[in-house]
Amino acid sequence: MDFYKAPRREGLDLQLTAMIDIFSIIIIFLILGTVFGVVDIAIPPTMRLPQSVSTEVLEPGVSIVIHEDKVKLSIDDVEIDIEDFRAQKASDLLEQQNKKIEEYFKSTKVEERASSKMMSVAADMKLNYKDIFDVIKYYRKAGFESILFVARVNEGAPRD
Amino acid sequence: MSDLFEIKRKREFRNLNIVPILDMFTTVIFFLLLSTTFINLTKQTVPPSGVSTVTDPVAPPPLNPKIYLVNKSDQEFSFIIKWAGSKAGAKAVTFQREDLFQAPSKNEMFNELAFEEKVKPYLEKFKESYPKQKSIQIGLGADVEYMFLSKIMDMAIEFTPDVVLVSYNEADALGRALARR
Repeated sequence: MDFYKAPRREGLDLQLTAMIDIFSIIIIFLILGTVFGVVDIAIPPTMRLPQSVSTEVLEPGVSIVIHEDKVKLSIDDVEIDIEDFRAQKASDLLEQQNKKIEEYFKSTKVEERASSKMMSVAADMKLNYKDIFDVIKYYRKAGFESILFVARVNEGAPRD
Repeated sequence: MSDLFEIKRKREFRNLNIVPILDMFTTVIFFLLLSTTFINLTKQTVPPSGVSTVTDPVAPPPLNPKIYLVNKSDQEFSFIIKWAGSKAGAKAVTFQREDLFQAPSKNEMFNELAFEEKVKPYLEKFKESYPKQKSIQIGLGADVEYMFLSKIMDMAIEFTPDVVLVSYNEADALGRALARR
């Protein structure tokens, strides 16, 4: 009497090469999919930006962050008190910053001059208009022509 | 002598230990995913101010439309749209602050839809009357929150491509005059 011999169960071999390929592709995809450096605005984690239905893309250039009564310009990364922008006489910090802005304008190439005169403004949505206006007015006088307000895309709003 | 004729050892292929590489890749993926901040940012533009000269003496005076949002009192906002020109006019609407915020707390949520419903009809009416108008000036009271500027710009840009910001002093002066009436 012959008994049927069940074949031995063999352990499955994991195809590691294929898995490494997949992981490598995912890593490359994630790295390339992330936008680095095009628009470099360091938004504080506690800052709440206003929402907008605008579909325009941010442009590279100079930016200011207005948060907790401090203004930080991307050219020198120095925090300046909002009150300094209202004072009749410019503070030492603002005078130093003005020189840096002038140097920045001089150092930009002719073809980049238009975008160098743009300034992106990232400010907390709860900030008073007075604070925003005084700061913008100051930087307009300093030579920035176009002001771009940074906002979060309003996902729930209907688009055109 | 034996040193001279030493038999070379066969080169052995080392097996690459793939498991730690795989571990590393998995960690990197999680690190990348967790460290990435997914915020979709956009912008609203206030273009450089332009100066135009009217050379035609018969041309009608410019409309010079202006939008103001001022605090009428602690609990009330006034939205005003006024324009000059041959048929100068103004429209104003007052609404309660509590109608625009979902909870009367410090972290109150701004109800954008409620604000839009109150304000948009006035802008639409203005646009119907003056479809060729290309710029509008916006001014907020000194204490009015910045998020209102963003919302008004969103609505105004639908009608006029150019936006000019007006000082809060002008807006507050108008607000005071309105409160006196």
